[in-house]
Amino acid sequence: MKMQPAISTVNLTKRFGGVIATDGVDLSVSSGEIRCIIGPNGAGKSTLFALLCGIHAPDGGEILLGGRDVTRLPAFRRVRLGLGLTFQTNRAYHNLTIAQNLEIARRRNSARVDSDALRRYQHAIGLFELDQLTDLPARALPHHQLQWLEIAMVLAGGPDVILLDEPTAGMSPEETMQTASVLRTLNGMGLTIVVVEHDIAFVREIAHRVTVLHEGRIFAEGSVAEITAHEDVRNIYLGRA
Amino acid sequence: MATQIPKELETQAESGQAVERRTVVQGIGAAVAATALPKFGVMTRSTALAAESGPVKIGFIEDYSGNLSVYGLQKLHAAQLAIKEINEGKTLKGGPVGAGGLGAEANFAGKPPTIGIQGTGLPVVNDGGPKDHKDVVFAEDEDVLIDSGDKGILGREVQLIAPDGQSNNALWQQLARRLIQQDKVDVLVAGFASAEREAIRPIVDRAKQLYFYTNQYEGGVADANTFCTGPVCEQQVIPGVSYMVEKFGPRGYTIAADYNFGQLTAAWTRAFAPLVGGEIIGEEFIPLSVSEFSTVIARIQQAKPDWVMTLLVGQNQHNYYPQAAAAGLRLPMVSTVNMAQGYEHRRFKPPSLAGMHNAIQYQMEVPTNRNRAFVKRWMAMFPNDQYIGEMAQNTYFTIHLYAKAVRLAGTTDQQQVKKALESGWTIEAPEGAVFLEPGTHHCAHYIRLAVCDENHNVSFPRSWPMIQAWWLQRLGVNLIRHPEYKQYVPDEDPYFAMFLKNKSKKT
Amino acid sequence: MRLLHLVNGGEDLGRSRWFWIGFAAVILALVALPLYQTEFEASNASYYLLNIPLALGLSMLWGYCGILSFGQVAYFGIAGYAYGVIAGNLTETSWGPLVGSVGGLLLCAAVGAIFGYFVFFGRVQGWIVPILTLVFTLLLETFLGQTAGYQWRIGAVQLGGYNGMTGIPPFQIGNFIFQGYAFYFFALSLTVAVYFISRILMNAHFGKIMIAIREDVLRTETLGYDVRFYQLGVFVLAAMLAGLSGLLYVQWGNYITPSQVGLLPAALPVIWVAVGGRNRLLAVAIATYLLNWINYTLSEAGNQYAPVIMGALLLLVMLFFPRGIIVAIAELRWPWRRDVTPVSVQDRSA
Repeated sequence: MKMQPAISTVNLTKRFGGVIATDGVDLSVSSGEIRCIIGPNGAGKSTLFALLCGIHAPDGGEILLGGRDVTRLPAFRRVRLGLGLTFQTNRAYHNLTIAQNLEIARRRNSARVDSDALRRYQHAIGLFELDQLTDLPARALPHHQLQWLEIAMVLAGGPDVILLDEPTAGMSPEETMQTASVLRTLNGMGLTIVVVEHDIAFVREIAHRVTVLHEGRIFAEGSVAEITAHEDVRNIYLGRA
Repeated sequence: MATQIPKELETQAESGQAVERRTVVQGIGAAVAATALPKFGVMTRSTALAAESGPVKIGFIEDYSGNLSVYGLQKLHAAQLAIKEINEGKTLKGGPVGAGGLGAEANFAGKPPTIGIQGTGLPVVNDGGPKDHKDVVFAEDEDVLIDSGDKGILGREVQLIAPDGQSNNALWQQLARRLIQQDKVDVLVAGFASAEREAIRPIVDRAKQLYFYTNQYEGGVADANTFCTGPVCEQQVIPGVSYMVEKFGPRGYTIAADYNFGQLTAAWTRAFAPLVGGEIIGEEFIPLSVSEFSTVIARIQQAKPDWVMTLLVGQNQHNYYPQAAAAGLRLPMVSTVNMAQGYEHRRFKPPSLAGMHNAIQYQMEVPTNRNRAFVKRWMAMFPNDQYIGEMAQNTYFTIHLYAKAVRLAGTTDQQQVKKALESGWTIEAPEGAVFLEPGTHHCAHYIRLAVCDENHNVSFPRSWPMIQAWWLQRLGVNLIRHPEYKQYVPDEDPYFAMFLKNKSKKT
Repeated sequence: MRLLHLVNGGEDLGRSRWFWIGFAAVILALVALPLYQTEFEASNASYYLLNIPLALGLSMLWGYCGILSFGQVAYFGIAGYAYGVIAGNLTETSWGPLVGSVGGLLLCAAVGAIFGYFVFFGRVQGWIVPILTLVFTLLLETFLGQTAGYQWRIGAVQLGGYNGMTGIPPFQIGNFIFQGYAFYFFALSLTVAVYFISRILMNAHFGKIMIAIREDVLRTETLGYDVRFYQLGVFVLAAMLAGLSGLLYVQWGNYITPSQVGLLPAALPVIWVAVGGRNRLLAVAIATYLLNWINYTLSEAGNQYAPVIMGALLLLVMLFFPRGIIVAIAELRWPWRRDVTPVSVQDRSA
C-alpha cells in the first residue's frame, strides 16, 4: 500500500472542441505528500482539477485513486472512495448553520471515518475555531472562516486525499499562513493533500513537490527549490507573477 | 298517479283543501275554469303539497362568458322568456297523448287531405292520376302559446337561478353541486358542450336530480335522471346525407373536430352513408386548436368528393370556410352544427357559407306563423339579440314542458315529475310538434333541411315532420323498466361494428 | 420520542407550545366542521383539502429540493384516470376502489420514476426541468384529448377524450362508501397524515439533503451523495402525492377531463406553493386551502377573472413577500413572542 501513489493519472487527455485542455498528463502524488499544481492562466489547472473530481470525463487516459481506476466513476463515488474536494469559489451551504453544514458532510461517509480521520477532523474544527459557532448560519462567518468551514466539511467525510482548488483565494497574508499551518498539521496526521494554486507564497509554505502545468502538459516537476530555480518556469510563469 | 285523477278532482270539488294550500287550490280552481287543458292542471297530490311552498326554482347553468358565450346568452334569454310567460300564466300547447300522437292540441287540416293533380287547382279525390304529396294540407297554428290558467307553476312563482359556467368544466361541476345541494333546485336545465353535460351528470345522478340537457348532441345518453330535448345524430345525419347523395352524388368527405362530438358524428356519417347510397371516401379529424386548413383543403381537392360533411367547432376551426372559399373549393357542404347554433351565416361575410346544408330541427328562419310569433315575442323582450338558435328554442320549450309536467304531477317532487314526463308528451314548440319518448328520454323532432345560398339567405327545400330518436330504442334502452346512467357509443351497437369491419378490410 | 423530535424540527413553521395549541385548535375546528357546516359546505372543504397533498409534494420538490415542476398535475391526472379505469372495471366487487387507489399511486410512482430517471440521471440542467415537466403534462393533455374515438376503451371504461371520464366510483371500503361528511373526514385525515409525514421527512436527514441539493448540487455530490438518486426520490414522492390528490379528486367529483392536466391547472399549484412560502410546509398547506377557497368562491360568484386574480396575487407576493406571505406573517415579531426567530434555512436563491 505504501508504495502506491495516493492519486495518479496516466496519459490523461481532455479536449474541448479542437482545443486540447489536458494533454497526456502523467501525475503521481504519493501518500502523505502535499503536492501543489501551479501554472499560468489557461495552463489547464482547472480542467485537470475537474477531471480529478469527476466533473468532466476525460477523452483518454486513466485516473487512479489509491491504485484503483476511478476514471469512469462519478464524483460522488470517488468521494466515497476517499477523495475530498473544495472548489475555487466557496461552496459551503451559506444558508445553513455551521452545525448543519458539518452534519450533512459527516453523515454520508460516517462508516468510512476511521480514528485517524476523526482525529484530523476534530483537530481541524479546533484549529479553524468552528467548534464554538455551530448555531450560526454559515453566511455569518467571515470569508476566511467560510473557506475553513468547507475544508472542515470535506474532512468530516474522512478522506485519504483532499484536493483543494485555490483554498486561500481572497485571504489576507496572515490567514493564508494560518491555513498553511493547519494543512501542514493535517498532513502530519496522515492526510495527502493536492492543492491547485497560483499564490507562490502559499506554495512555498506547504508544498513538498510542485507540478507546473503549461499548455495542458506537465512542464516541470520537483521540489519548491528546484521549481523556483528552473529557468523556463520562471520565464513562463513566475516571471509574470 | 294518473289513475287517481278522478278521485282527486272529486276531493277538491267537494271540500277544497287544507288551509295552508288555499292559494294553490284557488289557483288551480282558476285553471280549471280558464284553461284549455283543465285535466292537466289539477292532478294535485295532497301529501306533497304541504311541503312545497315558495318559488319553484329552476337551476340553469350556461356559459355567458368564455368561448361558448355566443350560445349561452341565447339560452339564458330563452329561459328568461319561458319563465316570464309561465309566470304570466301562459303555456305551450301540448299534452301527454302517448307515443306516435301528433299532440293533444295540434291542429289538423281544417278539411280532409286531398289527392289531386297538381296544378289543376281542383281537388279531386282518387281520380287515378299521379299522386303528389304537395296536395296534402296541414293547417298551421297561428300561435302555440295559450293561457295555462296557472300563474307560475301550481300557483308558485318560477324563479331562475342561473350562474355562469364560464366555459370551464370544473366550475360546471361546482355550480351543479351548489344548485343541487345548496339551492335545492327543483329542476336543473344545463349544458352546451357534451363535456359540460358529462361533467355534471355524475352529480345529477348521485342526487337523483331531474335534469334537462337541451342541446343538439352526438346521442347515446341513457340516464334515468336526464332528459335530452335536443336532436341527435340519427335525426340529423341521415336526412342530411340522404339529401346530399340524392342531389349532389354519392361521394362524401368528412372533416370533423377531433373530440367526442366530431368523432361520434363522423362515425354515424360513415356507417349510414351506404344506407342511402353514398360512401365516405375520406375522413379527417382536426384538433380544436387548428386554424390553418391549406393541407386539408388540398387533400379534399385531390379526393374530389361530391360534397363535404363539415363538423367544425369553435372560432379556430371556423377559419376553414373563408380559406376553402379562397382556395376555390366550392363544394356543397352538409353539417349538423353550423348555422342553427352559431349563426355563422349571420356572423361571416357571404359567400363563405354558400352551399351549406344542415338538417336542422330549428333555426330562427323557420318559415311558420307560430315561429314568427315566437321570434316576435323574443325580440320584444330582448330587442338587441342577433339570433335565436336551435338550442335556445329547445331551452324555451323544455322549460314550458317542465311546467306542464309539474302540473300533471301536481307536485314539484322530482321523482313524481320524472314519472309525469315519462307519460309520452307532445309539446307544440316553435319548430313544430315535439314528442318526448318516455323510454329513452329523447325527443322526436320536426326536421327541416336548411340551405344557405350565395347571399347567406336560408331556405328550407325539404322537411321531415317527425323523426324519432330511435337509436337508443334499437339498443333496447328503456329507462322506465331498466334505469341506467351511461352514454352509449356506436361500437356498442353491432350494426356499427359491422360497418367498421368492412371499412378496416378495405384499408 | 425521536419522531416527536423530528416533528418539532426547524424546517417548518411553528415549534412553540402556543403554536401547537393553536394547531390543535384548528384541527379540532376542522374535525367539528359537520357541527356548523352543511354537507355541501363540507364537500367544498373536502375539495380545498384534497389539493394539499399535491401542494406539499411540490413544496418538498421545489421549496426544499430546488426542482421546480409545472407538471405535478400530470400525476394528478394519471392517478385519476388510472383509478377510473381500474375501479370502473371492478364495479362488481367492493374492493375495486381500493385496488384502483393503490394502482393509481403505483402508476404515478412508475411514471414519475421513468420520467425522473431520464431527467436526473441524464443530468438535465436545472432550468430545463420545469419546461420538461410542463411539456410532459401538455402532451398528456393532448393525448387524453384525442381519446374521444370509441376505440379508446379499457375494459368497460371509456377514456372519453375531451369530454372526460365520467361515472368514476367513489372510494369504498367494504360496503362503506365515502361520500359527503364521510369523504370530508377521509380527505381531512389523509391530508393531516401527509402533512405530518412530510414534516417529519423534511426535518429528518433526508430533508437536510434536500436542502443541501437545493443550495448546491455540486457541493452535495462532492460530499459523497448521489444527488440524482435523491432528486429522483423526492420527484417520485411528489408524483405520488400529486397522485393522491388526483385520487381524492376523482373520488370526490367522480369525473376527470384532460383539461385537468392543462396549462392553467398546471400553473395553479406553483401559485399556491409560492404564495404560501415554498419551503415551509405549513405555509403551503394553509395557502393551498385558502387560495382554493378564494378561487372557488370567486368563480362561483360569477367572476370569470378568478385565474387573473390568482396570477396577480402571485406577482404581488413575489414582489413584496418573495418568501411567501404566510411565512412573512409567521415571522413577524408578535408582541407575545419572546424568543428570536430561530435560525432557519432560508432559500435566498429566488
